[in-house]
Amino acid sequence: MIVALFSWWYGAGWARAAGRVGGRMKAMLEAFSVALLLRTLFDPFRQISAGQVRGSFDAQLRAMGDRLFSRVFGAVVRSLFIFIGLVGALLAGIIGLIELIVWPVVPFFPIIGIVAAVMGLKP
Amino acid sequence: MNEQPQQPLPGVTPPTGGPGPQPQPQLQAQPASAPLQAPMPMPAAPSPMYAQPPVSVGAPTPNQTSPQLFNYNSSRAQKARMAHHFAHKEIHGMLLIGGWLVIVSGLALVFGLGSSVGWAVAGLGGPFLMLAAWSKALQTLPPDPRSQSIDAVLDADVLGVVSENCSPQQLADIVSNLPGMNFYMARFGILPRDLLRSLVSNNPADSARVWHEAERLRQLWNAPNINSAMVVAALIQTIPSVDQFLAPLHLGQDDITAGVGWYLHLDYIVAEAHERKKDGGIGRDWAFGYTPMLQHFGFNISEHVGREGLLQRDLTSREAIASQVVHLLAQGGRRNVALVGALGSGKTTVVHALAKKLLEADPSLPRALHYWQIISLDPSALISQAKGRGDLEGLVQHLFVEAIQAKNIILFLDDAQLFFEDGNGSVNLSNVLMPVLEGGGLPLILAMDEQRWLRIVQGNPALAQSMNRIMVMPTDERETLLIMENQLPLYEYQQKVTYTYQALEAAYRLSSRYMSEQVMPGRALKLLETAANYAMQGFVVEQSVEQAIEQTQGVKVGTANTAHERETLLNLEQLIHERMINQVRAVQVVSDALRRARTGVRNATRPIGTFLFLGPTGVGKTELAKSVAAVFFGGEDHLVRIDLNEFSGPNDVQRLIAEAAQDQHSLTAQIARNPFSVVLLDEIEKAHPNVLNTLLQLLDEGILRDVTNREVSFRDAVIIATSNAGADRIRAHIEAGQQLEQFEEEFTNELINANVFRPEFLNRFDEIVLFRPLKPEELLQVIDLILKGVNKNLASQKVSVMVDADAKQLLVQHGYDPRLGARPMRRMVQRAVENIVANRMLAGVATPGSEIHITLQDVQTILTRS
Repeated sequence: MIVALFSWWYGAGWARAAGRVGGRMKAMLEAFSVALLLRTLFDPFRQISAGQVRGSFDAQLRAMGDRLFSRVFGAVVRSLFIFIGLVGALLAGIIGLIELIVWPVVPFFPIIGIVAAVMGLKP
Repeated sequence: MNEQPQQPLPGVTPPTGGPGPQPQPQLQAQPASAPLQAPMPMPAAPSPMYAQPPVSVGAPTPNQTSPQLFNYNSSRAQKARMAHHFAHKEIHGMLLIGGWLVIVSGLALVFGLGSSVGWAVAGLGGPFLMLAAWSKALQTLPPDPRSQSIDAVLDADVLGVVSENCSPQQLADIVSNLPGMNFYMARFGILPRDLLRSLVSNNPADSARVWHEAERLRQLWNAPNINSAMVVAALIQTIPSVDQFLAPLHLGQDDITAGVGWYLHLDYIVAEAHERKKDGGIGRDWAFGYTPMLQHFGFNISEHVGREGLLQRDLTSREAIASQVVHLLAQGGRRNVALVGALGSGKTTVVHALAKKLLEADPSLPRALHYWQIISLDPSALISQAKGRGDLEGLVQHLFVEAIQAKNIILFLDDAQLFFEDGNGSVNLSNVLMPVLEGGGLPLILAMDEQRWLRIVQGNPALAQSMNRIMVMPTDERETLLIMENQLPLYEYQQKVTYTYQALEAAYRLSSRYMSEQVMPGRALKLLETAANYAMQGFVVEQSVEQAIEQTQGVKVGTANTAHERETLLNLEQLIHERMINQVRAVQVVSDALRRARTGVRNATRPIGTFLFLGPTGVGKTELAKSVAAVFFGGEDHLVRIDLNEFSGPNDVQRLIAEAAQDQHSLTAQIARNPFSVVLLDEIEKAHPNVLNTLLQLLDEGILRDVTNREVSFRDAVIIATSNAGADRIRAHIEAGQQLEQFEEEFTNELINANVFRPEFLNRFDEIVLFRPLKPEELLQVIDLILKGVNKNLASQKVSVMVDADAKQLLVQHGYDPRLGARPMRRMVQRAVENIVANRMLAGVATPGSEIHITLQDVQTILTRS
């Protein structure tokens, strides 16, 4: 049983933990629609002022200005959320990386604990 | 509507491990030199959702033994045994909580109390966490692709407890408490729990056959593991007299195999419910416009499906339709689709499934359609909001503009005829719709049935030009069963019942026969839903479905099962003769047909019986039909009488098969309403040949199509045609001293030769029955029957009538006319008896409780006077 436990811990278990970290990062990117927002970065935000306008040159110029504003506004909002999504994914990755680094050490926790106790480590 | 299972499925706890693509080790003995069965044939690749049932079911492999077929000491088997002891959710939870508690306590000692011993305490948490993680991992034991023995693919819940030389009996013990057994008990009625144990072998050598069968099932369903349901199915299929075991349960081996597919699908549904839903994230709709008006006036199917989920099973026929719709929506030009199909064929379901795919950005869809939404418009909601036609058209135009500007909206017009016709709850919006349809700027999906589509297109040919029509055909039996299995979790959750497999089969069989207003799968689903009201101890069984159809359609579908009904069937002749005199042969053939029908011994694709009654008037032809309706079907209101002398014109066929909405007294309308009837086709020789041709299919196959081409089943009806043709010839034969049987054939030939009936028409009848003229002594009995009726009428006034025998003789003498049979007798009784009774009652002679005695003199007086 001990052998089976250790072989799983350093084999399939570790790989599974790595997979979980990847899954959490992906979920974070999906929650903030990062791929979709990148694809539509310069689309008019919620199609506001996106329609075609017929009329005088002034009206068309004004419509073009509105459209431009809608696109710029959309790009700003999207960029913000892309940034938040990326930061979130990065945080999830860092936490996951720590988890993966600590993972192989966990079996040695009792030994490390005893050594620390014997050495009288105190904060 | 909540379409996700919110609680464990009744009777079904799915095994551990979700389905998905997994390595597929082939069963093979170890070492390779050991003799083993050749690899079993694989079915045509089923989908990973177990949407497709097996193509065929092969015979179980012969009994054989192999020491390495099951490797008890394999690493996977050892893990499974460990998992059996501590891979439980509770143990995992305790280890996890315990581990963190120890760590936190240790750290509290270190940082709170400044004790370095805390490090040692905290360190002890490590093994707890390791064990917790391992415990969880062991709950899902993946197949071992390196090994080719059974233990490499056997589910951990079986593998963890199976012994090295396990007999089929021990195996039955093991699975008796596992989900697979619960499933077969609940869904197939295989009870009691230890029944299987008593039927299988106790010889460990026989286990090889069970393992082979289980492996065959795994491969057949393309499943990653052999689960407990497969083991149960394998045990059942290796019972020596399996067919005899299954027959009383109305099951066959194919059904047991199909059960594995159902179990896997339930497993899939539960696994899918636990999966993280892909909803596109926070910015999904930012590239699309706002649609406040549409949200207010329409019904957002996508939002509904996203919120409530959708029980969906990928079926070949529906996948093909969905692909066509997607293709048409993704292309340039007119992106308009008309889904045309009968009520219940699943048009709306196709749209809901499409909405789910679009919302989940299914990889099979073109990227341009990702996250599009389908919004359904309801004309009555629009009408109620608009003051007049102008307002309404303005509102609809506004909605269309909003949908076009949003750039991700597909409008769905269910019952689309309501937008193209003026009427109650409908309005003709062609003027507004046609420019949109022809322009192609807004994708539209219309749904309607074929008749309405044809009618609208006839009046508006431009509509056909602007639409891409896709036919939604009814599903076949296999697909209908799969759809039912898929929908059941929802019904079971809503109605708190459990459906059995037999109920599903009965729902298909009975709904296809009696529910002509819809097609499959809608009608089977509707019947199943209704059957929940007739559940027995929480289970919807075959009888529940029968009761549901009997109550909703007014038909009798079960076999004769009450003592009273059996008694009635055995004494049919006697009961019928209580209402009519003589005609023994006619009564006999009709009674035989009815007995065959109620015991299930008959051709189910024809009417219960088809008879041609030939004979003079007044000899009991109509009376026999009425008697059958009363005795067998429970009342004379089950008699559908059609006087065919009213159908002597070439165009009268249309009246005969008119739609119920147009003429509820047409033959098809009456039988659609009450299929369990006696159809009396009176004076058939007077019908137009076109009418007789129409009736040929009815007599042959028990089916008649109405003017809308809808099938109406006559397979639960008794068809009786009557004719007076050749009555004089019958009388002449009888007067010549011949018995009916002696000249029956000759008489039939005479009718054919005289062109009264065509031979192909006469051949369609089960029996041609001749009715003989009644003799004077039989008319005496007729008078007794009529008097019985008079007494029954007078019973409410507590008065009875008694007629002397010589008086009855006089009535017969006066009324006897061999050409008119018993008919004059009723007039005689009316004139003589009923008049006397009426006079005495008015004179106060007959008081309640008295008996009116009518003598020969009374009758003579009254007959002389008249």
